[in-house]
Amino acid sequence: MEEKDIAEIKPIRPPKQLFNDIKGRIKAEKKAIFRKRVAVFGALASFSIGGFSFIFYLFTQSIFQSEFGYFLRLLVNDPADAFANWRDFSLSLVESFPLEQALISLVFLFVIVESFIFLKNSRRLYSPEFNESRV
Amino acid sequence: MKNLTESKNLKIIAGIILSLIIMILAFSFGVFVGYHRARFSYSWKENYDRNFGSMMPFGPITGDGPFGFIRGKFINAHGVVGKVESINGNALAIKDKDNNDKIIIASSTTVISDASGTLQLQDIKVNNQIIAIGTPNNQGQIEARLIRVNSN
Repeated sequence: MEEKDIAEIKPIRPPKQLFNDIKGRIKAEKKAIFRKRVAVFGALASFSIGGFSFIFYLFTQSIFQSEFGYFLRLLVNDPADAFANWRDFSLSLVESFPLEQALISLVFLFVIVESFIFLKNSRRLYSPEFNESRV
Repeated sequence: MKNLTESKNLKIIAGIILSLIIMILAFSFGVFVGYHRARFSYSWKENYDRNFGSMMPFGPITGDGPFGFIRGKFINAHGVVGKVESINGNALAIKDKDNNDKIIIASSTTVISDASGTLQLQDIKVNNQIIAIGTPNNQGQIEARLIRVNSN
């Protein structure tokens, strides 16, 4: 092509509505993503809160009804003797601690915390900093 | 020096080292406790017929229930909470909350008490609920340091 031909090419201008259409489409996508994230949060939080409540109830029951609760009461009833035999006393506490319920409670608690962090990150979709960097 | 102490990489390395130290300590502690439980459970099984005069009942010792698979089949070695089944001199046969039979040996240094105060060994009766802590021996018995008798 010659320079004269290149100069005669008119610049292509986008349609006037294109920018608004793009903005609208981005907004719709963000709404859809946000709704999905809220749904995921709802499912995660419901499951983890329900599970945590149940397991924590079992855990507290285990504390009071298992050998661990009885050994712990020795601290109130015979504190001097319990401390005098601190090694055997502490090992008896450790051996009878309801470890499984505590572990599962912590797992559910972790999922609850992570689900709220997940929701908090979802709100960033509508934060001014997020929007300005994309415009 | 100030740049070195504020360095992000240094903080990450320090955090990793601290995490490793905590994990190793926790693991070592778990091994220590598990070893004692396993050793006592083994000697308890080996000496069952000698201690109780009968064969060990068939079936899982403990670790039943929905979470038993995590705890495994070991019994607690340093304490017992249960009912006195029989008394033979200074040896108390106890059935604990997991339905395991254990022998508690009381000695002259064992502190025996209840809500009213200090007791003697002869004050403990069959069917008393007791809480005992002590040291396991090689015969699958627990040498009691403290026995607390609960009022029924």
